[in-house]
Amino acid sequence: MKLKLIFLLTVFIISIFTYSNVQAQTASPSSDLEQKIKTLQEEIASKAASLKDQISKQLTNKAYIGKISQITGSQINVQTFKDIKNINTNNFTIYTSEITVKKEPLALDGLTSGDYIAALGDTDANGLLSAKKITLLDPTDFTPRQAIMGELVFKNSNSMEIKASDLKLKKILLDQNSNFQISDNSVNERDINLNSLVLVVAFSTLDQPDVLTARTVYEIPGGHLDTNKTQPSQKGSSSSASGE
Amino acid sequence: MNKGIGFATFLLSMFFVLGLGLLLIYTFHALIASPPQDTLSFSPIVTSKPTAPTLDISSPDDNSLIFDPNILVEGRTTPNTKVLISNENSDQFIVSDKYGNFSQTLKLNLGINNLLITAFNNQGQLISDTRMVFYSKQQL
Repeated sequence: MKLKLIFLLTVFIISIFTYSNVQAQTASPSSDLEQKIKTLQEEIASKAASLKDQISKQLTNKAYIGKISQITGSQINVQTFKDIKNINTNNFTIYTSEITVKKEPLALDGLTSGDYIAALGDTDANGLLSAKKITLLDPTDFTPRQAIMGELVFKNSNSMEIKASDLKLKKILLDQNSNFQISDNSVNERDINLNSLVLVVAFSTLDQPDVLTARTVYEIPGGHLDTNKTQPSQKGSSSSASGE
Repeated sequence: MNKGIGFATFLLSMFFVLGLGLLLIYTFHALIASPPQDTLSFSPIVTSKPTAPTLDISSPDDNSLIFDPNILVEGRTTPNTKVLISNENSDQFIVSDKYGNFSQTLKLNLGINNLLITAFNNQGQLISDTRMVFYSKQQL
């Protein structure tokens, strides 16, 4: 009886020992955990470096372009296409002009409200740009563009009318530079179908923002204007590429 | 009648018990350690109305000063959606891939470049965004 008990105990201990060994070899949870921690550390380091690069990229080599709304001391406020930006000038700021009327050397006191400029430099965390260079721009260089979509309800060789999703009619002029496309194929003006859905890339000028001229008319085969849908959306505060 | 079992029988029965015990232990371990199996799910095919396109431009940043005349415009919209990429020189139409990603390289003009990016669908829905970049040949 005693012998049987000893044997039973031995078998039990051997089985437990065997099971523990197999577990240690297959699972090794501690080494897995170390590996995971190491991988996690590498991922965090990589993301931190990427974030640092991104922030650096966002703050350096910036260009604020728009119309001067105010000049206060050495600071200029510029109305860009989307919002108002602040620009700081200093003794090292270089001034140039693309307008032949205002001759170089240009200085801060040569700028006035309403002038169009491009201020180049680096920004701080608050978006204040330290201008290394300010270029006075020609306002005629600004040709605001916008994309208009709607149903073509009228056309002749000089103009067309489009019914947008808000059911308002928009008149768009055509000129010799207007391009016409049906899907990806270039066509003539006469090939564009009435009552079709079109996307028009139209531009205007700063002094006549409401006069639109088509640069590209793109007919969408099989498209139809769903007037029950919401208004076309526009990211940013400006609905067009307007300089105002 | 009261004769006990022999040693060989006892030894065999012990090995049997050992084997059975190990089998039970491994089965139990396999049950608790194995990852949950993916359940086979059946999702019904639903034909939904086309959604309005979205637009997220990852490059270029707005108000960027660029020193390279070639610029990569890339971003994401709804899958298989037409995208207009327009600059001062041209209007280009491309289609986003099945994940909604799109990219196109543009040649910049010297000075100001106003990029207009528009995603649109066949129902007259569109969404636009702009990127103003300034191309300079000279580093500051």
